Amino acid sequence: MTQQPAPPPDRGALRAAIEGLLRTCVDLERQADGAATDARKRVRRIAETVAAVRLPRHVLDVPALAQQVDGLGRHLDADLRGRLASARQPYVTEIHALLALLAPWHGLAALPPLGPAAPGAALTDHFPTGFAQDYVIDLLGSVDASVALTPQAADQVPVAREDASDAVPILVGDQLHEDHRQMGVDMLQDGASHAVQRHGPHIAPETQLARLLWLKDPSGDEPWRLLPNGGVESNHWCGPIAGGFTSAEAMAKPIDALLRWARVHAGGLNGLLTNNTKSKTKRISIYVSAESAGLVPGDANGYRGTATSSRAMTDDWLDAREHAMAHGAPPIYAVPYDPIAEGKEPGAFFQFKRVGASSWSLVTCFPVGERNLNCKRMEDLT
Amino acid sequence: MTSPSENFKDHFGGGFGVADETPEAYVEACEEALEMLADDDDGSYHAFRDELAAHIRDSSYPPHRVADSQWITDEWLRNIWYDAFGPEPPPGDPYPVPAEDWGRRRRTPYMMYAVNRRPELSSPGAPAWLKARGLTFDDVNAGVGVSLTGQFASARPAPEGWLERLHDLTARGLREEQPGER
Repeated sequence: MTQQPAPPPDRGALRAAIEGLLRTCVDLERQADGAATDARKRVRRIAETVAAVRLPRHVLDVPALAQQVDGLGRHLDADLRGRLASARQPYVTEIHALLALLAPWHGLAALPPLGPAAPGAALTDHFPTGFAQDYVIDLLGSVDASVALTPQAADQVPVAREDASDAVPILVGDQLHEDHRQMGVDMLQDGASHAVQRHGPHIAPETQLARLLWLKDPSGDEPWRLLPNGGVESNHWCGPIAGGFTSAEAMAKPIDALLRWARVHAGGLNGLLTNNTKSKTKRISIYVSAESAGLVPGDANGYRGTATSSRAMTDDWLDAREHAMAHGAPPIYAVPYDPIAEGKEPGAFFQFKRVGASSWSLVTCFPVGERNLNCKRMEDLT
Repeated sequence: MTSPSENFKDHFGGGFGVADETPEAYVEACEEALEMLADDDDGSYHAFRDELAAHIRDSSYPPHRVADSQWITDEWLRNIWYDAFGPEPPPGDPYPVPAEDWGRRRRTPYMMYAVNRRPELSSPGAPAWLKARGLTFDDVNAGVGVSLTGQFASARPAPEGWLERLHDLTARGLREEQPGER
């Protein structure tokens, strides 16, 4: 009987394992810096985190590594700092091996081998320059700010109150120019729109976090439940960023800018959208820059996935989320994100869908840090 | 093919190119592709499809971010092509994906968003989409967790001679050179 080839690791599991091990490393080093009164407890927690990583034994011997970490906890009264380099080595070796397995998804066939690191070298210096080091730098950069939620904690996160949600279009309308106030309110109240339901100022940050990490619909309309195996099932969808406007005033800014532009240049929104689409086009995506809208830092908040600075890294993170949804662990992480303050090309993303030959409904409107090149710029529409 | 045309951006920006922002629009765009081809009075949708094939052939769709390589960008476009038009590779694709990989070794954005563990939690259009591609929910979901096949799911490193190919395409004026290609 021929032997079956060993199953390959799942992309999302690899990404989660790399992030988990790297965070373990950081945690270890902080203990070495002192204040290790509860060190044994922390190390036990780390060991549990490592044990939650699901990878085939030939890829990463998780139980052995978890035991190694646990063993470390028993000796923490001794001077860990003196043994830091050797304590770190197994992690560095494993993380490098896992990055090599992830590399093909980044278009790379092989990674340079680990070289010897100078005594006292920073953690990042252990990794060869290029893909491996860049990835580690990106992950380490998010460790301090990042947060996670257990599925149980996500379950406890309240969904937005319906009466608060219902009030938003009126509050936004109060901020709009009277010539297009009703248009703006109608747009936000349209059943096709989820701008308010997903990005309204009444949605608490933790509700955005539960949306991003565990696909929990902020409005509570779409099914979401914990599974007996620890995972979660949902039919809500979300990309690698979740967030919205911090006030009705902020939400009104890009809407007012777009409706004003439409009124001046095309006699109204329906005209503007119809003029700038093919007759059969079903949807149009528009970018309004922060400058045109008057959006400023603090007008937006939310979360984005950690280490998502390229297409492939974003897909790693999305796969890790899918893996976590299926198994409930290991955790995935997000960092607080104000796209207007932190983005390279901040603004607002709009999408409309055609509902008639020359009539349109708002689908969504939310703040973004980058302009997707496939959106139309408001200023290019006439 | 050189940079994306306005017609291309019109169609691409309505869904295929904005999955991170609005997964729903991406899924809708995939599910309505056949209808768009059939009902295309002005020919703009066929022109869009032909241009997508040309961008894959000539590596001429520029990466969105500097950290994105042309290879990863082209692989992303191949996934979109499959999600919209099925397993027949785009005409002229120099690195076609083996048809049997789709949904088994290789997952796409449509599979991630629209195909959930149970049909009730999936896009209403998912059963028809899967059927048209000869796939089942189980096929696609086997890729979540640990794949059962002996190969990497969806991972194809850039092939030998890839940079030389890009240089040649650039020299022939078919694409713009991107950062990091020298």
